[in-house]
Amino acid sequence: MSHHSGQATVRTGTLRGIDAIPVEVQVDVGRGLPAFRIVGLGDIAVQEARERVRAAIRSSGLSFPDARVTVNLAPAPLKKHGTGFDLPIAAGILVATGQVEPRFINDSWLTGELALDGGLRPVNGMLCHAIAAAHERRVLVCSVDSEPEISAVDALHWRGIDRLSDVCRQSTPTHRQLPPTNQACTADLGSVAGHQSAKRALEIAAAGALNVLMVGPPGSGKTMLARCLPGILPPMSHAEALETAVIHSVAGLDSSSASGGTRPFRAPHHASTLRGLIGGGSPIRPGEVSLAHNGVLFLDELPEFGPATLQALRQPMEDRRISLVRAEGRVDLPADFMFIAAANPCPCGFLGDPDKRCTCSETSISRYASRIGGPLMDRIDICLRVDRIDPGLLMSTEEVDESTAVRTDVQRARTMAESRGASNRLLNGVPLLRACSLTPDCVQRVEEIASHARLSGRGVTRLLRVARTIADLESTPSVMSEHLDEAASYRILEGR
Amino acid sequence: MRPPDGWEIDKGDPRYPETLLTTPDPPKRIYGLGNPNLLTPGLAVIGARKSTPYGRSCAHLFAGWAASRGVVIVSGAAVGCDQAAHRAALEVDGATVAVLGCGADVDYPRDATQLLDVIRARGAVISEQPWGSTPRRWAFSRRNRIIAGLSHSVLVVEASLPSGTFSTADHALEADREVLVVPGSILSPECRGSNRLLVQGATPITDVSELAAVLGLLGAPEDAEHTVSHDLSRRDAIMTALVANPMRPDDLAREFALDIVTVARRLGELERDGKVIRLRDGRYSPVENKRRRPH
Repeated sequence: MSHHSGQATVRTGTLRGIDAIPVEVQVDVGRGLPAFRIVGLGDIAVQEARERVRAAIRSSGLSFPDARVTVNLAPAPLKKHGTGFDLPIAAGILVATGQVEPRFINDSWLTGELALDGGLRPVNGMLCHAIAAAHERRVLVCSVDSEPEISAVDALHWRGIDRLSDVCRQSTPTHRQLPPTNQACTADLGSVAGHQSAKRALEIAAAGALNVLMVGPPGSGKTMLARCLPGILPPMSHAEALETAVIHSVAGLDSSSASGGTRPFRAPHHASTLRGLIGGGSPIRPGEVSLAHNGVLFLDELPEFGPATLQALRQPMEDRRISLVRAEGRVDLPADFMFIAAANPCPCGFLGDPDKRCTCSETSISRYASRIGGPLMDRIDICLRVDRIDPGLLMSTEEVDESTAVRTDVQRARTMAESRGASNRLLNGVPLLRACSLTPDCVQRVEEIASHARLSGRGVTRLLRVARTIADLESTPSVMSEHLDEAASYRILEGR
Repeated sequence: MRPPDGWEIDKGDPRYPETLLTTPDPPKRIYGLGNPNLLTPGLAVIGARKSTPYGRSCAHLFAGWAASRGVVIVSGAAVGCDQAAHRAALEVDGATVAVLGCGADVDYPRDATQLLDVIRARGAVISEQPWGSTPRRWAFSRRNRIIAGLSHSVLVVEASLPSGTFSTADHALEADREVLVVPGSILSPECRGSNRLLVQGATPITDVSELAAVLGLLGAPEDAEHTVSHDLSRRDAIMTALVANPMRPDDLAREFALDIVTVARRLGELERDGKVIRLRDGRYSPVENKRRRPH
């Protein structure tokens, strides 16, 4: 066999943020000294494709041309990342040299990394490639192992293969039902003993998508309570599930539970880097704020996070997305999460604990509390104290399903809020006042609460937001005095 | 460096307070700002820095009453009970002396700056540490002996276990001063230390007439203004329970078999009415029993 000249074009894509940008792989096999070049701003992983492609073609029983091979990745000015170009480059060479018929790559989108023995494996962001391929009405050709990830995409035609040599085998697209996924990291409210007021506060937080801070000694169940939160949120819509799954896919995480509708629960450690939390790197990897999109971001030991890290949370909490500005331009990633944090009341953790003595000085206590910082505290709507419960109570509790009933109430409250036009957490100023429709009596109540609790303007806003959510849980059109009283009990305590 | 209005009194100086001479280890020199004539036998009112409204109420009540009868209130200007005692004395235009562990011209604790300035103007701030000395841990336990030494008796309003308040009580016993203690709830960790002192033989003080008897003062009032009491005219089980002992919403709900929402709303209402406050540890407690007086 001698295949000494020819050309081929293969469609693939490169990730930018959470989008797969279409890329055309143009292969030219021509006369000249044997060489293999890849041009078009590929990163090191793309350059290394040469070695993998050469070996994979040979181990698949096919021949690598003894000619001048030039690969151009178009559009040339776009930076290309990753190992997903292996398959399209190899397929292009095989078509250009006449070893594979063009019909196997026409109207297709090929993505996958090759092993030296010709095996094919998925790359990060397969879901993004699937969405882009479906959008262009092309058949996605990729590793069969991608199935759990990409089956969430409607109207996708795809062909799963496990080796390079299969590229010319036309197998029919398979559609299999996903096995139900259960995320072990979330919990049911029923599995938490006691903590009645904390559970109530979580219900309100879930109903209004409000931000929560739990303060309490170590071992009081703060983490357990936080894990209950995803389970009392209404299930994700199909569109939300896909958005979340895409982010997980880009990060190289299992996206099937997100695409199955389970809200993500992310609990980064306080030693996480800034980049790990908000995202970054090249190619950009989504951070925890994006991985928690449509779900819950839980920061345990909040004061232990660095001030720079906490500052960086402001933008996503405000804008519901994170903008990462890099040399290649600005990339926006969605980051619409519910924020729940936990903190010890003092450095030793036992301030206010009925049994253990706190060994901290007053100064170290106030310094510890001030580490969280005003701007972040301004965004906390609900603050609750969580204490260790009586061990007797722990033993006498049966595990029952509490979350389902709460979830129904939360859903109803959210529907009520949405019928007014906006989610409660976005309410502010005049629209908030209008939504509350306070009687003159209640206005006076608010003033009384504000003066006793020394509330700032922002504090009053938070009070009303929480009261509005409580009223939503009861399907009451206007906020009443008892809603205000309850809301006041979840406010932040300023050092006392 | 000595501030322009600062004074220094050495042992042997006729102005040196006689009461201190009767203690085992009187300071060699006293640095002070304010009125040096106030260094006469007074009442030390002391308590924990991590105080509850209960301790502060008691400090306020007894210090205010004694000061209004002309007794000098001696304390350490610390956060919590100490500051409540100084303030109560100032409110009734009484005399008060703050004994510091740092220089008498140094503002420590920092949030007491304003209070210390008022005491320097209307009472006295003293220390055995030279001018400008920064706060040191050892100096504070040393200064406790001066608080005890300057006093006729020492009233402990609230102390947990262990507590720095104990060192003042020990100095008081060494100097042969009477130790008075306001009893607290046996369930409250903040009162464990003061109750322990009672078990060890301190004199319990439960109202001003008992304090009057100890101080040898006449005219103990019968009026309600000088007892710790809360408005319980409404038969309110939650309020009654909180007066006895600060509690958390969850405990109240269990105690009275109420659902948590009802409890949260009732507590919110009580707080709005200014009857209870939420403590930093999540418990609700009756507010400090402060009554405004006409100036």
